[in-house]
Amino acid sequence: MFLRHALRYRRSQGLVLAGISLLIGTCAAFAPWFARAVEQTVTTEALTHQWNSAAWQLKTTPSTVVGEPAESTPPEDLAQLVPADLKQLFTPPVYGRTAVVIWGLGNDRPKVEGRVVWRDGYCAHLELTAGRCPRGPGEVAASTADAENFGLAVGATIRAQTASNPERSPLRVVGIYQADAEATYWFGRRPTGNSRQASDSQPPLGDFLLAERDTLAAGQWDAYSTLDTRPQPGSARVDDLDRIRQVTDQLEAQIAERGINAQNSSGLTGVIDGIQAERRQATTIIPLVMVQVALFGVVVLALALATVVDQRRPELAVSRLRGSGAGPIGRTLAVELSVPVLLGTLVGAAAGFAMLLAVRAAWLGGAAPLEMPWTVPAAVAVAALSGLVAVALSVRTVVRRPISSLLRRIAPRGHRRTIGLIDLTVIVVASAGLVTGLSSGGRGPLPILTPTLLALAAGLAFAHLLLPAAGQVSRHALRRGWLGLALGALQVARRPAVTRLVAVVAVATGLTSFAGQAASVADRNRDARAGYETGAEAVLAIDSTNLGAFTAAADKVDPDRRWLTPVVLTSPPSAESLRALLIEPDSYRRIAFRGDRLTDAESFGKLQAPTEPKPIELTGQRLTVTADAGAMTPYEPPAGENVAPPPEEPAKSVVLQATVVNQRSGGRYLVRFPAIPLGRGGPVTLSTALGCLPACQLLRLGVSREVGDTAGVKGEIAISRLATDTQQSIPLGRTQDWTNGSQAGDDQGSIAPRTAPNGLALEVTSLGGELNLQYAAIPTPVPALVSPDAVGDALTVPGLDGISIPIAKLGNPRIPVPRHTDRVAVLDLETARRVGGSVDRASTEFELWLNADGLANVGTVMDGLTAAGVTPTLVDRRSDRIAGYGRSASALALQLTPIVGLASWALAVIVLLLMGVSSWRSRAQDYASLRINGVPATTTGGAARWEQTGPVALAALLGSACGIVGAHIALPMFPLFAETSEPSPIPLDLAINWPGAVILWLAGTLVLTATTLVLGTTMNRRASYSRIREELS
Amino acid sequence: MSGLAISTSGLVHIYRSQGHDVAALSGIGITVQPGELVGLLGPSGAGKSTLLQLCGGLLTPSAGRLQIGEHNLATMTAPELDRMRARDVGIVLQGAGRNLIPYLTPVDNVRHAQRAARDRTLPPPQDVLELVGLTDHARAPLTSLTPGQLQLCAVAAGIATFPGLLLADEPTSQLDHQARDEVLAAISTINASTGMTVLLVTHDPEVAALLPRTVTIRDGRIASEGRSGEEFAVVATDGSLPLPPHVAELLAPGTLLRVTTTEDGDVRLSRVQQEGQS
Repeated sequence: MFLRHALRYRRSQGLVLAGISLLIGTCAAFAPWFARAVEQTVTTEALTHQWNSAAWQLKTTPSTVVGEPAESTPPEDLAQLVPADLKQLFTPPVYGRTAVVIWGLGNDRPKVEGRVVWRDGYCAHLELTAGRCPRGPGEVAASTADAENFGLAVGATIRAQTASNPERSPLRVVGIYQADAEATYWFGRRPTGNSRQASDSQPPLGDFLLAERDTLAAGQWDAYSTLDTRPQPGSARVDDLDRIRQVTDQLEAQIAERGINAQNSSGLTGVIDGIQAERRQATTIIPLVMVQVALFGVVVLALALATVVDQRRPELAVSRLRGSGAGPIGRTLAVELSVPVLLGTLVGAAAGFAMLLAVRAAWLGGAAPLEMPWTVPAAVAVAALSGLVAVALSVRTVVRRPISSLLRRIAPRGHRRTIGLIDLTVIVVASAGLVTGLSSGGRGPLPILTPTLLALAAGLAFAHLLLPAAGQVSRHALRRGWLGLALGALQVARRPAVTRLVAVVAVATGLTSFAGQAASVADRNRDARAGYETGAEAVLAIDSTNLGAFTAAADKVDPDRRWLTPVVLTSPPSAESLRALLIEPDSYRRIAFRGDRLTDAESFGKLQAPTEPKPIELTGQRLTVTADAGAMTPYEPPAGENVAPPPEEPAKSVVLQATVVNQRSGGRYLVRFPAIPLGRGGPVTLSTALGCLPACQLLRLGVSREVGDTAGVKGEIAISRLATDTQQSIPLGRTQDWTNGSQAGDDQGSIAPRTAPNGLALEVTSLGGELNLQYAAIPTPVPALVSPDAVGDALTVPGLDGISIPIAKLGNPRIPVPRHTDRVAVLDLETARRVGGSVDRASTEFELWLNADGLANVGTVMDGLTAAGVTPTLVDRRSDRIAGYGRSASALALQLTPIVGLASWALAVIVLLLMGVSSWRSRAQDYASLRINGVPATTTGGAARWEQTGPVALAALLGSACGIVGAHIALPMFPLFAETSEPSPIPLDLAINWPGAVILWLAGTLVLTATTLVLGTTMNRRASYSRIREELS
Repeated sequence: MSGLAISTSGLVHIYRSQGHDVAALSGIGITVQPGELVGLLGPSGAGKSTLLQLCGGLLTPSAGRLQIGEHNLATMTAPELDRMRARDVGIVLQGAGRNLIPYLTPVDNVRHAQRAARDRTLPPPQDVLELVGLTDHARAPLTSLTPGQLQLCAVAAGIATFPGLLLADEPTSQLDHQARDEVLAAISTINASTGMTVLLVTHDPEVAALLPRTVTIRDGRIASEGRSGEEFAVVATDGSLPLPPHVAELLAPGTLLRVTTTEDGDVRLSRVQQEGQS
């Protein structure tokens, strides 16, 4: 009957209750909505960015059954494999026919390996630079690269044949095209980018020859059919994934059942597994992050309700005086308080939706559909129910008190200060939750609640210690005559509401502190992981076949290495073996991500190619040596178990040889001199072809034998002069600059350097094999930093030409090797260049890593590289990876943490205001009484300001500490990144962000103590004499 | 409804606070006839308000008998007490604000006070306000009323259901003379026109002088009783006889009093002069 009056009278209280309920409702509605939106977004993101892995790529295979037609299944038949209910979720299928051919221009012998391809609607995806699209049988369009590499032009005729049918069919080129090979239309079946001319080791290769379907229907091409389709991002949603996965899993069985000779290459199952892992994170983290605020909101609502109901005590007493029972009074009051609570919750649900719209646009790119998952109304209902339960419990607690208690202005309490049952329960439950969370090994939701539970338990315990401590302080201060402090402490000691205040402030600052840590630590780790994975700010892949050309291009663009550092990766055939990462130590330290932390300065120094001695340069077409092998004598190795019997023929000669590395091509080759017959004393001069233009570097000098000459021989070969046709004499350096890097045993012979009067002597024990001394400008084995996952002690890595190079382990890198982390040895690029070898394109990758300045000037860099004759492609950017991680479920969930922090502060301020509003009158009366008794206004002012400010400041400190401790405990269990099948070698950096923690602590203390100071000042102003006579509230 | 009688015998109430027991009433025996207007007098802490609250069922007697009309308050349950306050006993606490809902107008306050007795036929709130002379302010906000009007409003709320007994605790305190007289006049009018029994606590001798019967309580006992301006000592149920303070001041501790009974049944006390006494 009087509901409207009651609501209007205490409008601000109603607004506070509605405001807190609004926050609870917002959290309750937003969490499941956002979780669902994130699920949809990660699904769409995965299907968008991993579109090729997610695609179904069906391809018919030739029939193996005798008697079946050679013509393979038409592509339209493959479309039957897509179930009708999924067709709207998949892109329209792209049908195709492909024939693998060998072709040649005109009447040339066919030698270019290529494909004649028809794809449905291909013409729309070509850019014709000449001619037109094929219209009839026998017409093809060739790529511009093929036109350039093989001289194709519009009107030209090529003849093609298949491997199984030598009959050549004519194809007329009617158009020259360019195509975006990366476009989704091609489904990774790249029409261009394949064309290359023949090289020494590789046959010529052609791009797609695109033709009409009729061309491939002739029967002589052994063409196979293809069908490409993929789940359509935006159409295929979370709820479709199970069905798509089921159909994908059953596709092979479907193919067999329908009698189609076809196969599907698709990584869709793996993509869906990844999506499901992210979904689990979204549906776990987001509700748990938000539920902390919601739970905190419920606690604050309960506190607010307790205060509000306590203020109603006189009205309840009046009703009881007039004969109303506790039940009816309670129901009336409950209805009055439920109205703002329910309205607030419902408006909160609407606010949650508005927040979803904002977040959807800002964070999710607007990709998630607007849905109403059942979890939203359920969560809102739970929130509303929680509010109603809080109302019922608050009302019930008070209305059941006797009238005599209700009539008293301040609720009576026991003479002994004991911890209330509810507080004790909360402390026990929080502590139990904390212990469970810590002992659950990171599983389940409790680890995420650690900071809240910790702050709650610590805050309540601290609050209950604070009250008696304040009493002690008050008495002590009074004895010393510090009246202001004594009064303030006394007010704290006699008001149990301070307990709630301290607990709320501790939880709020704890949550904020944890939120700040979680956000900054996650941000730091995303940045770090993106940096490690990229290697630098950006990476250019360089298409080069030559190390010299690669480094020359880099030198031309950035000789001082301000922007870039060259990196070469060589990979062995076996994935289990070590890869070699060849770097320039100096520039790598400056440019690569945390390059300076890879190892210490000393190891970087050891890694570098030696500066002394200088490499021995050879220039010319012929190499001449003057040597004396007169001291060589027959040698018979001691008999042993594994020693072969000596040959009957005596040793005839020895052969001097040199290994040189061409400075232009990088090729490493052996130069052998004519044999030096044994038994003839005195020096001989020998000459052989060298081919070192413009220059080579001498890598090794050695001795071998002629074929069949395996009898033992021992002695010195003195080399008195080495010269080329352009160099009169080439110094061979000091004796100690030559070392035997061979790992062969003594039973294979030996070689050692000796000092000779005019040069170098080789002390040789030859049993027929090859023996070499390597010049010290090229260390052997090559020093390297080896990743900890390398197995075994005898380590080798592939050189530029794929041939193994022995390495000496300097140690492990101090941090994971950026970009190429697994099974890798880091070597000096200059050393590798000195070792030489023709680049094996299949196993060697050239990259230029850019720093921030380099990325800012990437256009200039790429233009310069192109001008220098290499083709750069920007393949990786750290910022892209950071953005990618930012779209993960974990990152999206953690983006909520600042909101959590701000909401916590807001709730704490609301509680402070509420406490101030509800208690200011009686406190003002207390201070007014003191003033009447002669206490100066300045003293009461100080007490009024500090009675709450002190405990709040202490609680803020305690809460911040709990947040930091909670972060230290919980963050290792927090999924900062999506789960992967194997743990990432890049370690998480979970160190506390102390500057951030201090800033948040100071900011929280400032906000909350400013509130209490303003409240205290306002209250002191109102502590006038007239306040004592005030009765009507 | 006609007035209700109050009858107490050996009424004791003990407050328990912080480990100490304090006897507020130590065996009160008093009888109030239906329709009587009785003032309770006495110094602060004497037990007047305690007695009033016991009569209103706001406190439970520690011992003794307390009968309000047909209700034996010592044995009643909380719901029975609620029903009693809804129908039979109106209470006006000290301080007008404590009796009123602050956001309701006088007429709504009366209506609010009638809610628990909706099963009875009650006069319209306007009539109740007319009885205390507040008709003109029936719909005015409480904050616009004078202290006297607020007190009248509190009285109106107390009698909203026309109970058989009105308990008023210091209804005239903190009022100026005019307002005090208005309130007292309103209570007297109610008592006279409805036959409602009124038990009124006051400190004010001027108010007490206007009441037909007063009972003075001191140290939890009935000290004296005044009727029509004359004050009487009252023999307690245990036979003790508290003397009026001005008499007690004349008698030093240990003074012997001779008790004699006259032929017409009167009892006389006379001091016995002892050696050394002047």
